[in-house]
Amino acid sequence: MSGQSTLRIQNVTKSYRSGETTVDAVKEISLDIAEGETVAIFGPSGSGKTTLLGLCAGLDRPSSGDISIEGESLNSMDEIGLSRLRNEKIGFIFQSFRLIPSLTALENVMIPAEIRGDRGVEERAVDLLRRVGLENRLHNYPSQLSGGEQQRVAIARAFVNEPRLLFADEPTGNLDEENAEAVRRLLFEINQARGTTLVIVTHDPAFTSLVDRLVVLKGGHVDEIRSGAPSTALP
Amino acid sequence: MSVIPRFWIVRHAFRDTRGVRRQLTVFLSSMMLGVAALVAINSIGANLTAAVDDQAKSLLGADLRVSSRSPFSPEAEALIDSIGGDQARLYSFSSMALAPSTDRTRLVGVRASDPGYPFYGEIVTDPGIAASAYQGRDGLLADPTVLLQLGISIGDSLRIGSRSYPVVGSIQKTSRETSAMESISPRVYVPRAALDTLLLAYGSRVEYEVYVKFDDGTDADELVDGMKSRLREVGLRYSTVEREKREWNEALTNLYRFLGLIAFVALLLGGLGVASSINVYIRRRLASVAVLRCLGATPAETSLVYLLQALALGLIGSIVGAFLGVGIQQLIPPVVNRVSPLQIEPVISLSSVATGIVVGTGVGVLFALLPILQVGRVSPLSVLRHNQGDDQASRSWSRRLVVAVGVAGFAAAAAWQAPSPLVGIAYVVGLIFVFLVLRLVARVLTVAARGLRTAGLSFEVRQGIASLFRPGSQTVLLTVTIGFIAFIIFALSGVRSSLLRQVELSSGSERPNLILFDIQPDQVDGVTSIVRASGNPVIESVPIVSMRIRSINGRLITSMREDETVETSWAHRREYRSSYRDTLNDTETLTSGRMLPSVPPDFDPAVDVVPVTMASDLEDELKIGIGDSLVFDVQGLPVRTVIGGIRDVDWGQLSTNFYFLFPRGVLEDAPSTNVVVTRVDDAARMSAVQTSVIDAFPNVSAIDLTLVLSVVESVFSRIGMVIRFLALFCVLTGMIVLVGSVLSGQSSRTEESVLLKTLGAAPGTIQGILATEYAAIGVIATASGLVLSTAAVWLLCRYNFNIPPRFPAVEYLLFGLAIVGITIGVGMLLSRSVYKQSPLAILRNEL
Repeated sequence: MSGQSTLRIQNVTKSYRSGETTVDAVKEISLDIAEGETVAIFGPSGSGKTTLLGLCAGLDRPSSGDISIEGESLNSMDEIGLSRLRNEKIGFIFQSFRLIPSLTALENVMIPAEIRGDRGVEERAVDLLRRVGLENRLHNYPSQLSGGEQQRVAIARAFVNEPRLLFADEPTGNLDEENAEAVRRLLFEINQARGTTLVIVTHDPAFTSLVDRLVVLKGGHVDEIRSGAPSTALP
Repeated sequence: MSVIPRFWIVRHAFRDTRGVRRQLTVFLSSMMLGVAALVAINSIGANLTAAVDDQAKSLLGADLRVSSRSPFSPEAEALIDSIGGDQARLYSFSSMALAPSTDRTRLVGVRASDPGYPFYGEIVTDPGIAASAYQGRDGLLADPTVLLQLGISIGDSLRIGSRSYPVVGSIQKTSRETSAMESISPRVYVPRAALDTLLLAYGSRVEYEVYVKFDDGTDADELVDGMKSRLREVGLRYSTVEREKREWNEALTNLYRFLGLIAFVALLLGGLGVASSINVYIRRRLASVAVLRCLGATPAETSLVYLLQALALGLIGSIVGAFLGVGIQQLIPPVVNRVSPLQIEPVISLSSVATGIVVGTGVGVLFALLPILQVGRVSPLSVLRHNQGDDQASRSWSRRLVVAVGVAGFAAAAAWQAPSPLVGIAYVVGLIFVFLVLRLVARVLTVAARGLRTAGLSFEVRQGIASLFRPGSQTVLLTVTIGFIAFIIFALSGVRSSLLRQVELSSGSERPNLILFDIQPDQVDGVTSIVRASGNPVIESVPIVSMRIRSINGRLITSMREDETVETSWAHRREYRSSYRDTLNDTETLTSGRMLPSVPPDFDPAVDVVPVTMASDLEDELKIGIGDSLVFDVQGLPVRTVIGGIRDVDWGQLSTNFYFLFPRGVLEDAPSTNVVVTRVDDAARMSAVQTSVIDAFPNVSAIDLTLVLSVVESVFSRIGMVIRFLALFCVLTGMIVLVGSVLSGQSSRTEESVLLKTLGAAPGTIQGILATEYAAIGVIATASGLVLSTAAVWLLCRYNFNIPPRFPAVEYLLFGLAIVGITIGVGMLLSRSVYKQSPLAILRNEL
């Protein structure tokens, strides 16, 4: 981990209109996440975790404040700029896997690179799938895979473009303990090997011992920030 | 982004259709039939045009034809002589033919020709030698109808006028005339040299023609260009191969383009099918689109994925449709060749195929655009949260833009296909109106269903009604589709019935059914005596005086026709057959001015002006009205008149009606012929009356209206067959759309049904719910189609056919029941999987 900031959140607020009233989903949050750092965002339902993740990943725009990735402000980017940013610098892992049902496991892993315009991506994708233990399931469709297998495909997909930042939204939320454990292990193994900055939104307490920092949200603002166990201390 | 789609977009567009390709065949089939109809019609059009180009000389029969409705004057003869070349004359008129061996008579179209006619093309006869032999043997060639109806065969004799001719052959085909009218006025060819010239006496409607063939390379068009004004001065019309070609092409182009518009309805319905199937398909893809957006695809890129799919599917559907159209095209020439002088070769018209593919693909893409708009609006945030990021403002703006582009594209295609751009635009406006009304009806239906108090009704009916307005219901699409099918079926039925009503009215028991004409003034008493002696009434005995308009409001017609700034028409050129009487008959009404029954005894035609009444149809053609003055040329004598009244004439009634009607006391001494109208009640007496009259007065002709009416009915049925054949494409396309709509709504229905079954509903209950829903949609859509078609039939009858509309209640009821029945039947049949699904599926999460 180096001290250079990869993700900088400055005084960010996101408000929604709900009938006559305005609700602040996240309120004046500021946070710096350094290159290679792993951060887990905890908090009860409705505390603003997913909203913050969406804002950081350029999926949504803040009502006020600014977010920058590697020094580039997301506020200054148009829709196409944000799309390129997500494609080139960000990887995603979702609670419900979000694989494209009409594509095979291999094709699902290849798609972010294809969007970027890479032609010779297949070897890299196969390599990643081998890494997550799915070398025999390359040509299976998501409907032919178990939940754990689908999430492993999603992990391979998240890393295919070698992103600077990886956002994971409840990555173990839909898995049994055995599969959750496997996913946690893979996520951190690959992340550590590549030095990717990792931001995880989760309820899963098992992550507390794996991340560098824990950010606890409550009512839309940061309630507490504390250090996690060192990332070298893998179970 | 560059214009060329990036590789992943093309690749993903293909991969994304996995697992749903069978479902997308509905999309393909929707476009297929419309394109097939369009390609078939336009290909036949192209074949007809090619046939005209190839066979124009045969169609004219010569390099040049000059003609007149009156005998050639000495000046005209001199001019014809000066044309040079080989010349052959043909005199055509109607006359009665009498078969002495069977004592039967028949009105025939006599063609009295010189040897050599036609110079190009041929008369095909049985036996083959007869075509060349009849001239030398003073014989006669006749259409098979003549021989059949008169009960004679080759070798028997036939009398026309005072001359008898041996029948030397039957006409199988001529290169100049269509056999479509053969049933009304079948042809006989006789040598002109052997013609009874009494048949050409004053009052006979004779077409005098001279056919010219140039062997010395004379350019006929150049020749007539140099003598146009002289030809006109001596009252000669002319036609050259080029002109003939142009006229045929204009007429045929109008015909096939009009028919092409019917095919457009099939395309429009196909477009709705595309919109429906793509809409359902894309809704199921929105989650994947959100993932792609998350992974870095831009809105334009994700939209392009689905646009490429629509383009590819539209293209494949159109190509298959084009193949089908080419197949249909191969079936048509044998049918057309039987009744047309044109011999069509079913050559594949690449331009028609290409046009069909382009129009089909274009319509497919246009109709897919609206559903595809959803793709561009998908926010990547919806991966985390549903229903995020739909920008309402841009949504409404882009929707309007797409609708405007769609309507403009469709209007442009219709304007291009229609006989004239205006017709095309009017057609599109009409279709859009029907579409909007049906859509409105569907919306009202859903709102009404929502507000309906269903508390007292059975569970099945309550659920069925609720299905009409539940999210994802197909009510709007089904109502529009079924409404359109109903509209087309009812409109065709109404127009057909209204037209046939005219025929029935004319053939009513009180109506005249035998018209005797070309009666010379001194023969009138003799003819009426024969009619009365055979026990039949003389319903009308009307004098007819031929005349032409010499000037209008002091301006000579010849000068008006030469003046390019003045618009003239057939009404300025034609010979009018006018009459005189002191009362109106029951097929006409005076709408303005007055009708003078007779002129005063001291009336002097050299000084006084005659107030005449004019049929209202001529107001627009001649651009004149009450108070305008006309000078008629009555056999060389000028008769000064003023329009004193306007009459609305019901030309649909078979009665003696006239464009100009004079008061008594003016035309009595002018050369005239007479028409006697009677009614004969049985077929045997009909034949006897005609034979008696022809025996006594060979120049008199007769029209048996019962025969004409049966021919009219058969012509209607032929035309009706063509239109019904095309309408079939619309109905079949509608059925495909119906099938597609039912199938696309199936997944949500299956889920509901399985839930209901899990909660204890029997399969019969599910069937009851589905039946209620389809019955409600079927009834409302059919009723809407009926109301709209009623308006369309009324407008068409009032403004296009000028006849009162008739709405056949029993036929409507049967069609209506059939449409509702088919809707329920198709709906239930295709929904079998819905009510057969096991409740266990919900546990296994297999839905």
